[in-house]
Amino acid sequence: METIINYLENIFAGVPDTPEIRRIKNEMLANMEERYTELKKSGKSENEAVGNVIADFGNVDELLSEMGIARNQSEPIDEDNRPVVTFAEINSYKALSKKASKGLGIGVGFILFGVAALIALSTIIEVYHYSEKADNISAIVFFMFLVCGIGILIYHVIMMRPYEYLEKGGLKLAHEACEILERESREEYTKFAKGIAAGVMLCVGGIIVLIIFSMIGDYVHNNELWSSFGVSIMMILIAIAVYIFINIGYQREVYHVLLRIGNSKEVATSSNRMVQVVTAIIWPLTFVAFLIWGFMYDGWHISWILFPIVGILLSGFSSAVKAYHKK
Amino acid sequence: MISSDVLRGYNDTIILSLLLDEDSYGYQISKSIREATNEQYVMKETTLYSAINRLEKNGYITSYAGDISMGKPRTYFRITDDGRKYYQAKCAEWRLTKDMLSVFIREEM
Repeated sequence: METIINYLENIFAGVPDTPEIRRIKNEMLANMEERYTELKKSGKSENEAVGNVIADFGNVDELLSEMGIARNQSEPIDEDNRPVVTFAEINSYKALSKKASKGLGIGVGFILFGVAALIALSTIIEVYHYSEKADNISAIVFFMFLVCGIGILIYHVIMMRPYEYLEKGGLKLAHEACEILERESREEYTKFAKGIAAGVMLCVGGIIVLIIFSMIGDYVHNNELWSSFGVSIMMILIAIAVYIFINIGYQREVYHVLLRIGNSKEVATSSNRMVQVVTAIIWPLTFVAFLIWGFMYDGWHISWILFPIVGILLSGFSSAVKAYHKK
Repeated sequence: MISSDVLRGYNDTIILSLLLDEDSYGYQISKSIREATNEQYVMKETTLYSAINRLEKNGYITSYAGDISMGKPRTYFRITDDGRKYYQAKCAEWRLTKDMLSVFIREEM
């Protein structure tokens, strides 16, 4: 409710304080208060209610020109003529990002599932001595997952294209929008923290499964089979964890992007861009190396290890670059 | 959502039609519009008060202090006889507009 009162005060700053204006202002406040209470009663959150009320306010210039009132010229005029990001834009950006974050998580998850399937299948084929051609089946299954995953990734990256301008800077955010976003980002923080904890637990669980399976493998006949199933299950658990991490990371990024506009800081893109470019080059190279190792040196059973290794190296690199730029 | 540009000339008519049956106040008017149109048209706060201001200046509605809500008396609006005449004129104008425009609106392309 504070936010609504501040919003109205800001809007009417610089408008001459006549009894007529004061009356309309008070009435508008009463209406907005009533709408706000009603929205809250219908189960909307504080942020949704405030956002809704402010979105339905309209344009004060319409009212002023109707009343034949000019803004008080002696008041400092807002010389900042950067375009304002509207509530509607913020809401649709958030909604779309939510979808995209799920999509990107699923895309990466698909690729990791593919790796899990590849490991399990190639071991089965090896242990049961199927013909060598059967080895191709596991590669085909893996490619199917990979192609689907990449397709999903590309689709969702393109989906977010229309909002790239938000990251470029040169925009500003209404004061009220900033307040709402800051509050929301604080509220979501616990949710994010829980998600990260769950993801880490999944990863640890995956490693435990791997250890248990290889221990079983020591006592039974087909030990190779057991340990590779262990790796597959670990990959699946890691895939789920990665889905959660990407989902959370992307949604936190939404708040960062928007609040960066709000705090009108120049967007620190240079370090991000560098990491993006390096990542874009390294992954295809890794993939090519994976193929060469697999096809030419028959290393399918082990060449998957390139992906987690490169992933860990890249994330280390990106944190290092960010830390360096912060200085 | 219908573009508010199209409706601009008829915001006054919409408000007057709601005041025909009973006096009302700001929030109730915008709520009635929202509900009557199934949320298709949400009249912005500033649009509502521009129209109310215009209607009051032209003598089509009058205002008075009504019951007290949240510590403040609500301002109620009542339609005047001039307002009723103006409303009828606007309705006639709309019918004419509709007939005339329908000449250009084709059912099939």
